[in-house]
Amino acid sequence: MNIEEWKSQIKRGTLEYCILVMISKKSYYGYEIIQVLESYPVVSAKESTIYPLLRRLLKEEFLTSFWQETSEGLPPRKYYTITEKGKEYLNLMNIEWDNLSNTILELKGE
Amino acid sequence: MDIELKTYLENIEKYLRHIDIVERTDIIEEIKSSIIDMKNTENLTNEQIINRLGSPKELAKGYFTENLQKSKSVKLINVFNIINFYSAISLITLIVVPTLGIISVTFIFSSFLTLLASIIVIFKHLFNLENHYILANIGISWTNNIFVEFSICILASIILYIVGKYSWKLLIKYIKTFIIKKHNLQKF
Repeated sequence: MNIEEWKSQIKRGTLEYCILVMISKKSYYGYEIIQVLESYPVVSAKESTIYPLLRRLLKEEFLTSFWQETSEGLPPRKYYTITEKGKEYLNLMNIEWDNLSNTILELKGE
Repeated sequence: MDIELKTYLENIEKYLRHIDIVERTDIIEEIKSSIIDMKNTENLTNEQIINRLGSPKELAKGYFTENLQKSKSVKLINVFNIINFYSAISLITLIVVPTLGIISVTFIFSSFLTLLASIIVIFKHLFNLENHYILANIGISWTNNIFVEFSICILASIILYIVGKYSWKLLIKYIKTFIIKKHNLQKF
């Protein structure tokens, strides 16, 4: 069904945005992000999508990372924090997103 | 972590061997940490974990091609598709399109001319202008029967029109088929 293809296009287009929005509020580690997104099926995605995406955002310097020890003798976790550059990028995305929403609302209103 | 998962991680690392050691270790550690989390938080079995992460090759591939955009991997099958497409389209362009194009336009035009001829033929006979220096050449010379002449002209007109119209439809169909194929190719 074509709607599935469209849905996955939407997801592909907005996943980066969702992740930056989340990380701008607090630092997350990869698994945690996946857990949170899981509760929103429209943007849920697997490790194989999220981790490379996080890595790319890291390379583009929108995020920084640090490893944090966990107390129970478990392996350390890699946390991601948003950078200034990331915040600026997020602002631009916010503007574009609002543009898009408003455009669609207007078109619907016709 | 048990042997099965350790092997799984080693396999992933194999596919990442071309990445520098620091980054590679970082990637593996992150995956390891999420496997532990999956075991502890969600109590997944090894099989479920491996299913969710994907095959070592697919998972590693994600880090190269960054599968968020359209897949940029150049698969052999896609290369063949492109070769096929451009070969076919050259053939079509050289032979079919010009032929159909010329036939459709000229035949339809000719059909109208023939229709006009049949009217002139009637006109000719009505006004006894068979020997008019121009009009004598219009129509059919091997019969003098007005009805035969007229019917043949009309028939010719109809046949030309049908062939022309059909050629046109075929032409459009071919062009549309290749536009769709080209569009599908863009997706890769």
